[in-house]
Amino acid sequence: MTPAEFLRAGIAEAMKSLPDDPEQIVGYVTALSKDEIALGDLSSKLFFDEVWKLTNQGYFADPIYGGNADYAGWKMVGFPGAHAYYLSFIDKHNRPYNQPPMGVNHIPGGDGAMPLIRHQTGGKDNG
Amino acid sequence: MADKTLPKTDVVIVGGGWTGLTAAYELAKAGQRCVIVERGKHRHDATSFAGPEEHDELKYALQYKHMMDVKQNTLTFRNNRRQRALPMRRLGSFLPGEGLGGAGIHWNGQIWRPLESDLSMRSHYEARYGADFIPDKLTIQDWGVTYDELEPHFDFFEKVCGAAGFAGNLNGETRKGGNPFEGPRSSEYPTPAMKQPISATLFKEAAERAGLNPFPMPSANVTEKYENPYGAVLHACPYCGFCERFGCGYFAKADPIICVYDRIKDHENFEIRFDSTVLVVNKSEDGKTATGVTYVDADGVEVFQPADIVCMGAYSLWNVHLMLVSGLGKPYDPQSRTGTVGRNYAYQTIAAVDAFFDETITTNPFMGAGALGTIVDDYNGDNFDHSGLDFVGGGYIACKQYNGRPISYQPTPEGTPPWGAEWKQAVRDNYLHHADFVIHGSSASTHENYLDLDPTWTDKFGRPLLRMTFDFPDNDRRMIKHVLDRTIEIAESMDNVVSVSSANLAAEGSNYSIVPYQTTHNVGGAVMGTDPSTSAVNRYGQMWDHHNVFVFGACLFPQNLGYNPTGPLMGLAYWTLEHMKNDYLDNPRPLMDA
Repeated sequence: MTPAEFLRAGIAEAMKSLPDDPEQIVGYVTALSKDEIALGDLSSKLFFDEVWKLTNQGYFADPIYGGNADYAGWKMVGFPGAHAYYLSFIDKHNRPYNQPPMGVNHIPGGDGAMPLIRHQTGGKDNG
Repeated sequence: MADKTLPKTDVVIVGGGWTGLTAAYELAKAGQRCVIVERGKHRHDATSFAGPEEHDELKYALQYKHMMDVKQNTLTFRNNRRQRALPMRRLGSFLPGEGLGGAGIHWNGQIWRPLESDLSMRSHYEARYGADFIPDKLTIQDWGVTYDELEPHFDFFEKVCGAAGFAGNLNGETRKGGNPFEGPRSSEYPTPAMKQPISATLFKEAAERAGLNPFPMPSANVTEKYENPYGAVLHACPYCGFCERFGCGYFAKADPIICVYDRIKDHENFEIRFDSTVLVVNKSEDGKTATGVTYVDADGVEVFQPADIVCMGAYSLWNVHLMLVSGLGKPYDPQSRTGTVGRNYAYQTIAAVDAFFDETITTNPFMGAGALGTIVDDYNGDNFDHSGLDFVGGGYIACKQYNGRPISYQPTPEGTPPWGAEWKQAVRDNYLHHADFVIHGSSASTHENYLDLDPTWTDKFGRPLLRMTFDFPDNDRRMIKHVLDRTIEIAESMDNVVSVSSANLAAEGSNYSIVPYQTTHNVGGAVMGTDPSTSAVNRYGQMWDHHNVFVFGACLFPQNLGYNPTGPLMGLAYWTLEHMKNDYLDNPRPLMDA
């Protein structure tokens, strides 16, 4: 089974047992992570690990991938992003680096706000 | 039978990384017509690795876009001979490269030398601790070459890289602030040591209070504008934090493209063919020499490239694989403990420590570099008294600051749940207030850790996959525990530290796993030495059984050092090339009697 096949099968199985009540979701996910949910032939822990890994990537990856909206993940920890040049800062100890995050698509000279994500809506990119 | 045969060349080189490009440089300048056969593609720092596009953690650090594609090339793995090996479907524990520059593109740039005693490990331990000190299970042995013989070559490679550091032993004089345990250096590092962040500075102060000898990690992330002996120009590292797993568009991390390839690519004796995988090293009818290599080119055509000399410059594992599928040397058999190709595969023994500061210490972990950190080497090699201890070897302790890339850099104190609201709060609270340590331990060789050909699984060309059989020797589990305990003591004594946690990847009771990343330091399998029954190549890197085959890389190491392999293996490469140029080309023959 390839990783993609595994994920698709896991999602299909998990949808059968996912509780409707939001209050029960944490308990359900906890059980998934402990390999306590029957997902057909699949290990629910392995499935959880894959989903957790992808969720984490979505939250903290560069916004070019569509997650980390308004740099929420990077602002949460204080990561300044892809435009990285710290030669004059590295040995200035204990000084917060208060620069707004800038991703790969950041517009140089702009105001530091996150640029619009260009969603791909077919063959033509309308910017 | 190949589809076509090309005109003969003087030297054919497998692989276009550090060793292959360096062999081509040195031999082309010595008048030899060199052809490199590289399975990957052309790429270049200026066009392939420039920021900000390069600074994409997901693409390069987690999806491994500069590295070997396991859908195309892989190996099988098992912990011991009783198990059935299975193919590695994802990269994890180690990250081999592919394409121009090989793994030399995405390396950290940690540039070390072996200790004098490391190179004569067996005879050194026997002389100091007695003939019975080394357990029978261990097959550690001497390298067959000494530090003094290699010193000019370590020195030259450091100059090729513009290495940054501070000599602890300059021509025999010990200097405070450097590594007091290192062998004598004939010259100071080419560029000054890296600037240290606050985490490493607090570690240095704590280590000095404990009577230890901290010093800045030797680095191929250069610290000022520098021109190397080949005429390549490097620039000061900006501590961007996208270093290891990435190429360097700043021209600040020494790599084989900017330091070597650019300076030889237009030479009349140099040629490189991309998208071309060597299938086999061809042998003469009497089997005593190689006649060239057969490779599959980008169009799927099988090409025979005849050559007078074959240089094996692939990654260590793939050198061994190519030797095995080509019938070069005698394969190692763990049952009878005979044969040498595949024997003494070793790895690296790794543990990690996290220290969490109070909020008055702000570490800015995103300001980092692949070789940024402060080292304590007091527990490496035989730098400490092993009498009364039940192991050989050791490791260095690094308080490091490589990167703060947020998908992977998520420090949380012990007891934090692995996900959910509490985890998220802990990541938020600790990201800027954390120090990161690695214990980078040696790896002893044994009768049971080895490489051979898999009996079941084949690659897309129908060749058997390489099979790795490896688990941590008990010796190394005891060693890493010892050095880990010392590291925890130092971390707990650091100013402003409120808690310390640790992870030991070679803990008692757990088997080696190829899933979590540890390090791309796969060594041995074609080891060098002075005895053809325990080494595949002689002390010059020349195969005992086929005198026109020269082997490069970490596959030569008889066991692994507590140091990173690039400096040592490039010292060996220049040593081999010197003997090829001065003693072999004019009179091809075995350079040692078997």
